[in-house]
Amino acid sequence: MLDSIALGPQALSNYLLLAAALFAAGIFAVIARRNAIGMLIGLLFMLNSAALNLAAFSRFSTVQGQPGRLEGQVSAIFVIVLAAVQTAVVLALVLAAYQTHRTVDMDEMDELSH
Amino acid sequence: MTLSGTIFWFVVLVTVGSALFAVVARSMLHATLSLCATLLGIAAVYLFLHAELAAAIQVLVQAGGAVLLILFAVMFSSKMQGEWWERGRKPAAIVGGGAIALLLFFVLSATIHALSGPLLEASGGAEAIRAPEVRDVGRMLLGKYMIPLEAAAVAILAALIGSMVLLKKEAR
Repeated sequence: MLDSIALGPQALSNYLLLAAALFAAGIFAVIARRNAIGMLIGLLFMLNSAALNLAAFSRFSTVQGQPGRLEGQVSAIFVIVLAAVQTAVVLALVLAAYQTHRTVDMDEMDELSH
Repeated sequence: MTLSGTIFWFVVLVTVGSALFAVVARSMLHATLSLCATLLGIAAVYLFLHAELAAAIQVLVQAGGAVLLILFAVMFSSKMQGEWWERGRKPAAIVGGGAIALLLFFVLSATIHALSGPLLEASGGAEAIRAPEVRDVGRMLLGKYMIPLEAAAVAILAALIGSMVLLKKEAR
């Protein structure tokens, strides 16, 4: 394990471990947080960790003489843009629910119709 | 350790530290600012991966756009609620969430560690190839992935129109 610490940015496993840590933090935020916007922050962490995984595998796939397979970077770009768009839609939902329930506390919104 | 290795581990430390603070912080404003720091740290990691276009788009779209949206929503909802702080969480949720998150992280890191032999071999040849440029990624986006690019633009338009429809006040 110490040689992967010494390699740093040249070892694929370090990027995958960073993405795994971010994903675990995102899951904890979605499960343990009561605020709807806190859950949204966890969702953003999960999406970004997936995009980081894609970009890391794109960097470390070797094709002879070519700069690796760039599909991973393109997929990472799409995931980033669509994550921001999903944030906008989820915030619109949260604010629309707020207009009905007058709270963003998810534990109090446990009925479909007010 | 080389200079780039030191900077890399510093960036990883900042990213993971602000991610952990963002999921634990009780004040939503602190959580949002830690989210911004985490997204900027992820953009720096993209720079280490020779993904400059992804880093630029991450800073512009997410650390700029999504954080701004979340900041507006936090300020709006906390102004109406009268407080910044999230209400107290249930201990069952914290324990269960922490257990699931730790279990997931250990399973993933065990898998990565078990596969790290062949992964390290694959990364050994990574420095001999030409580093990808933004030109190559742009050529792919406008060539082979033109249809997903246009579909993403239509998805953004649909999401914006949908958000406006959702927030329209209906006459009751």
